[in-house]
Amino acid sequence: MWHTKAINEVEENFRTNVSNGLNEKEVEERKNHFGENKLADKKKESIFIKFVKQFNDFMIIILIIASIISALVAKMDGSGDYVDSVIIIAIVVLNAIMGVVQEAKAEKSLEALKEISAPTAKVRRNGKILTIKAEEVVPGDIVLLESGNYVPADIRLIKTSNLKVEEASLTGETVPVLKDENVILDKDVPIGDMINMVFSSCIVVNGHGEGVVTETGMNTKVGKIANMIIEDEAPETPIQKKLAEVGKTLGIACLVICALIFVIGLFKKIAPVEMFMTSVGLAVAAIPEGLPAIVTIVLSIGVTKMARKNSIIRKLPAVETLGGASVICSDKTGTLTQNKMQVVQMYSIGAKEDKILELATMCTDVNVEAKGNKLIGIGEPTEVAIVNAALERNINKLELYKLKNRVNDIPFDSTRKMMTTVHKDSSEYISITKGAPDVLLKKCTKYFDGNTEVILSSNIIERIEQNNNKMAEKALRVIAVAYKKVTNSANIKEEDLVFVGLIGMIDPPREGVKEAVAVCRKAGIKTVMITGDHISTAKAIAKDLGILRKYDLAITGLELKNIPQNILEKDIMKYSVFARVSPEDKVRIVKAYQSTGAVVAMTGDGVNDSPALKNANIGIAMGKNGTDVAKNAADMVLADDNFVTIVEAVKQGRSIYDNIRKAIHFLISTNIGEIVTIFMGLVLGLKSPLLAIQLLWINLVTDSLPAIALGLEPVDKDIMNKKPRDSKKGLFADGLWSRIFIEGTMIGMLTLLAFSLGNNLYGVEVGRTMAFVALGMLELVHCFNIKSEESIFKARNI
Amino acid sequence: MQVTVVIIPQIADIFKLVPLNKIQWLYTIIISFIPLIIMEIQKKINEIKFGKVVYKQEYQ
Repeated sequence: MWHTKAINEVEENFRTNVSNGLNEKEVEERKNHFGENKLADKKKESIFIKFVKQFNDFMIIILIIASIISALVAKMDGSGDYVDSVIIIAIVVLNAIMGVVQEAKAEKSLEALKEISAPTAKVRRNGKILTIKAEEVVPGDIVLLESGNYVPADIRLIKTSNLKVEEASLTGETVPVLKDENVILDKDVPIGDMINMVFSSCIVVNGHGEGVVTETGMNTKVGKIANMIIEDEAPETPIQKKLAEVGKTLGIACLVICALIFVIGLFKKIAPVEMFMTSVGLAVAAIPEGLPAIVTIVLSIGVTKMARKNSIIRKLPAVETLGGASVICSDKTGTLTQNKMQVVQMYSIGAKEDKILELATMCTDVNVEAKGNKLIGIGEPTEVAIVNAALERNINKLELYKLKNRVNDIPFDSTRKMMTTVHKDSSEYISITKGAPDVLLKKCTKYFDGNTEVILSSNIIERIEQNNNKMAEKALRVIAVAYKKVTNSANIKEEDLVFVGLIGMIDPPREGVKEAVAVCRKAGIKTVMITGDHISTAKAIAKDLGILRKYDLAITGLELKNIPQNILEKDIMKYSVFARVSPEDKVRIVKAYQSTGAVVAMTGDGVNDSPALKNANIGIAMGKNGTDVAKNAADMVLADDNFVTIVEAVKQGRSIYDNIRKAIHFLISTNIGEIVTIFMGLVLGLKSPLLAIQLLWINLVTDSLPAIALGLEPVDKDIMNKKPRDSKKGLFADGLWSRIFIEGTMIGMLTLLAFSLGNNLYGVEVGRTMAFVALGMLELVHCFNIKSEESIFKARNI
Repeated sequence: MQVTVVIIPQIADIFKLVPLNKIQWLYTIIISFIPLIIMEIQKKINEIKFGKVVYKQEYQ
């Protein structure tokens, strides 16, 4: 109904003020009254329900039945021996407690991760613009919307500037709607036509605007729909899916073997109850029901570790994919470089560097502010670089303005490629011009040699141009500085200027990026630079970082457009730098790399980057400078926008995959060991080498802990010296199945050897005790063997 | 954990285990460490044969 009201009515109704917003007290009151601005989560299960659910497992039910049968037999034969029965129940309960604890731990890790990647909103409160968590927005808040934002609540617009919003999540319509705050609509207008409103979860794709929050949380339009669709389950990763399949197959195979063992036992005239208990124990021992749980624990703890290192995983399957990344396509500015221009070189014909900086710093629109006890410039990056370079030499723009007050200016425009400021200098005026050297030099007739103004000859112009070119070749952004003295501050003309010097700036590489690129190369990962910047700048930085090497090529977006996709796919591995590319080109680049079988990680920050992020095997959004849309489309968010963090995440991804593989290797091979022990014992006509409760203890208690330990192993020191995993190869590739069977059989046969030795020399009880101890120790030794690919006496992790 | 179950008599009774003497422990320990020797030999052979160890092959 807010779409039928005028702006002032909405303002009155919500007792808010469009220019200052709400104050702290009002926010607090409304928070208490309306609650948090979030959709209701799926109802959380209590610890008790979680505990009860642990018993909802086929094998556990069999165990409970076995316990009941054991108790009934004890009662019927009058022995009163309920020990087996009690032990089985105790082990089942212990297993359930461990399950609840592990699940809670995994859940907590994922919750914490959700918290980190929670969306934010820009609001005006107490006259100040603040960025807050979207869930803290309250009705009456003034929200500022920008391109790339998610709308945090239902909002009546009060100001728009070409504001276009995509409302597909509500209306199904993907064409963005142009909004207008001044329209007052009829009551019955459908949502898609409410152009003076924006709704929670819709996306701002263009322009900007402001509005008053009218509804939050479950009262929003999307909240009302969400009532029907609340789903909060994390998606299963490929490993989890694969393990569920493997578990099922192994489970059925084990049940068949157990039934076979039971029948063989009956033929061998072993008491049916004893045989039944042994078969049940073996079934529980053999079925790797703990596998999916261990993978979940390893993944959830792994992503928490990664979050601490600034890589926030949004989609769990990304962890596995990360480990297999073979191409990383990275944005240049802000990810490979610092996004902070720095003055690195100056050139003049006699004028001192301080003089160049003094004039240049005056000819800027930068604000100088104190940060701690240091002065810093705030404004456009190129101008900030000049002002900061001047401040480092104690040339303070504010002090200079006190002496030479700025009285007029001609702002920069992209056609003139120059800007001019005019300053009062005692009795006369000085106009200072800075701009592109090629343009500015044409406006100069003299140069300053440090003492006097000298006529600019063609020789000198050539010298200046040569130095300008040298700086440009080094990918420096070059600004020329000139001045002239004038008698009048009005009608300034940018001509007859006196050339003073050139200032060369660069956005330097981020610390550690060069080393990270080298690590990638060793790890068989190709690093690709993608930038909207000029090709010369891109090439120079790429060369410096080791991305563009001897036989690598660089290409512009324009050239890319002329290459057919099939040719691009053929030659794609030759390219390492893509300059002047649009977000649309990124999709082509991703697809071309993928056509070679590569697993591609792609960074992005803008709304238009979303298709590329979704198409990449791992979409990586920038946490600091990325839009909400990009973050939502990505699999991973970089909290510090740093390339080094991507490489660290790949390292962690590889380690997590390897560790999961080790845990699986351990669990299945030890289960096979247990089957072989019992099965071969029966086949060889021996007494049962292990009793049901002994098997249960080994499987439910002693198996899972080493498996978890293997899953949480620290990163192997050689992990980045290996080539990426072949994405086509499965979890059990490279002979893992045969290793599992061979090693499992070895464990089983050695346990049987221990039993036979004890049984023959000292009797069956000693034999079983020796088999019990040997099996436990064999599993421990096996765990150490799996832990490292190197000799356990050499292995060292980092 | 496994050893604890054996050496604490009350728990051992529950699991129908008996105390082992030194010789029996020695037999058990020797048998338990056989895989260590076999795996170490296999790792060495792999290192000589491939220059790298088993897992690393998949990344070549």
